[in-house]
Amino acid sequence: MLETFTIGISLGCVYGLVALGVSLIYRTTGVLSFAQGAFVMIGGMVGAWLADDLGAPLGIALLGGVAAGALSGFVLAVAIVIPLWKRGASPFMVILGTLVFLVISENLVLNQLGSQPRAVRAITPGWKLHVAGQAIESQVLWVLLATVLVGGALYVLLMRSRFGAAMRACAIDQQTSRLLGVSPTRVALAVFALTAAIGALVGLLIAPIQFSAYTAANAYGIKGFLAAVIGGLGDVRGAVIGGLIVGLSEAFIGVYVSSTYLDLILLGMLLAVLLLRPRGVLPGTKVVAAR
Amino acid sequence: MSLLAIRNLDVRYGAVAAVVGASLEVGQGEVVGILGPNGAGKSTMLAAVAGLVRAVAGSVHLDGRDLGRLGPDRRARSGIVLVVEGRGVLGPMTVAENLELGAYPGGRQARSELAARLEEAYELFPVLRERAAQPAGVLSGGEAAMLVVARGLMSRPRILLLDEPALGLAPRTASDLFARLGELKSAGTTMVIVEQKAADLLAVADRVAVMRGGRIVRTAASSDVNLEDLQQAYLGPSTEADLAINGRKLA
Ligand SMILES: Nc1ncnc2c1ncn2[C@@H]1O[C@H](COP(=O)(O)OP(=O)(O)OP(=O)(O)O)[C@@H](O)[C@H]1O
Ligand SMILES: [Mg+2]
Repeated sequence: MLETFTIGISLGCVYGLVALGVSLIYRTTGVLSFAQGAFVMIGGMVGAWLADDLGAPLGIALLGGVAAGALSGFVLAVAIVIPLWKRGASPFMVILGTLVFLVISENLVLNQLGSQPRAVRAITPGWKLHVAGQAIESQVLWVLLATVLVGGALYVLLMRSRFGAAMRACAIDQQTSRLLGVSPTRVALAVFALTAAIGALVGLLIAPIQFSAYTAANAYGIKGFLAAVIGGLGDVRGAVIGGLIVGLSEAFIGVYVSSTYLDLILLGMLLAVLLLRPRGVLPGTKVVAAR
Repeated sequence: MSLLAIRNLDVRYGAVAAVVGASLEVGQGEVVGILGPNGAGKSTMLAAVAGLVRAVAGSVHLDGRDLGRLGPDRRARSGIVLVVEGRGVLGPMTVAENLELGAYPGGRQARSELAARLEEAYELFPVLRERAAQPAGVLSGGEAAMLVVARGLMSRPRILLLDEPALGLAPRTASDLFARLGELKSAGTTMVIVEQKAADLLAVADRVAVMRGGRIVRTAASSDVNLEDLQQAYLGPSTEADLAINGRKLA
C-alpha cells in the first residue's frame, strides 16, 4: 500500500512536471507540444549512457542528462517550431512538427544508445526512510525534493524576474507583448529549452525507479498530456496536481485493478476528460483559447 | 535629418489599399498630429511604422536607418513605441507590473532607475499610484488609457506613437490627458498622435497631417491651420454631424 503510494507520487511528480512543461509552452507560445515525453527519455538515456558506458561520476551524468535535454528542447524550437512560425504554418502543422521531433529523437536514441532499457544509479543507493514499519526508497524523496525545488524556482522566475514578466505577458497577449519589445522567438527558445531541461531532470531522477528506454518517451508524453488536460490545459499549477492524479491512478490501478489494461484505462481517462471536461477537472481552472 | 522618415508608404489588406504613398517626416522633439475621417488609414500607418503590419512599398527610417522588415518587438527595442487606443492593458498583471514591463524595450535597468521612472509615471498620472497593486484589468476606461500612455513612456522611447489615446474618455478626462501630453512635449518627447478631436490635437501638435482615403492630403503647421480650411481638406461637405462631435461648431 505505502509502496504503491510512493511509486504513485514519484510517477505523479514526473507526469506533473511534464504537464507543467506542456502547459507553460501552450500558455506562452500557443504551441501544443507532443514532444515533451522525449526529453524525459533523453535525460534518462543520456544520463545512463554517461554513467555506465563512459564511467562518468553520477553528478556529471545528471548534469549531462539535463544539458542534453535542454539542448534537445532548444533544437526543437530552433529547427522546427520557429521556422514553421516564420513560414506562417497553422497550429496543426506545428503540432505535427513536435510529433515528428518525438519520433526522430526516439530513432536517434535507438540507433545511438540501443534498444535495451537502462537505469541510472540512485543518488543515495540503499538508503531508505522507515515510516510505520515500512521502507520508502530514498530516490522517491529526491524526486519529490526536485519537484518542489523546480516548482519554486519556476515561480520565482515567472513572478519575480524581468524575463518572467515578459513570459507572462506573452501568455496574456502576444501582440501587446511584442509592442513592449518582447520577442516571441526568444520566449519560445527559453520556454522550450527550460521545460526540456526540467523533463530531462525528472527523467534522470525516475530512472533508478523506472527503467528508461527509447520507447519510454511516448508513455511519458501521453501521461503528461493527460495530466495537463486534467489540470486544465495552460494552467501551470493545475498541471502538477493533474500529474499527481495520473501518477497515483496509474500506481493503484496497476496493482489493484489490472496491469494489463493499465494503459487502456489511462487512455480512456484522457478521452473521458477530453469529452466530458475539456476545461479540466479541477474547480476554477481556466483554459486559454488557442491562438 | 529628421528622427522618423516615412517615405511613399503603401499598405494593403488584401484588395483594400489602406495607406497609399504616404510620406511624413518627424523631427527630434516634434509633435505631429494626424487627423482624418474613419477608415482614412491613420491607425494602419502607425501600425506599419511600429512593424505590426508590413508595408508593400515605401520605407520607414529611424535616425536614417531603414527599419526594413523588422518586427514590432525589434522596433520597440530600437525606440519606436506604439500605444493603441487605450487597449493593450495586460489585465491579469498589476498596474505596477504593466508599468515595469513598459521599460522592457529599453533593456535591463538598475532597480533605482526603474523606481525613478515608476515615480515619474505616478507623478504624471497620480491615480495609477493608488491602483498600483491592483490587476490592470479592473481599471476604468480612462485609467486604462492613462496606464497605456504611462507604460509607453517607461522605456524612454525615441518616438511615441499614440493612436487615439483619448478614445472613449469623458471630455474632461480627455483634456486632462492632452494637458499631460503637452507636458511631455515640453519635456522633449517626440510624438505622433492620431486624434479625432481636432481642437485638442491642434493645441498640442506642432504640425498636423490630414489623411483621407489612405493618402496624406495635407500637412501644415498647427498655427497655420484654421478649422474651416481643415473641414474642406479633411471632411469634405455634409459632415457637420461629425464635426459636432469635436465639441466645436466649425461650419
Ligand atoms: N485588419 C484589417 N483587414 C482588412 N481591412 C482593414 C483592416 N484594418 C483596417 N482595414 C481597412 O483599412 C482602411 C484603413 O483603416 P484604419 O483603421 O487604418 O483607418 P483609421 O483612419 O484608423 O480609421 P478610424 O478613424 O476609424 O480609426 C479601412 O478601409 C479599413 O476598413
Ligand atoms: Mg484608427
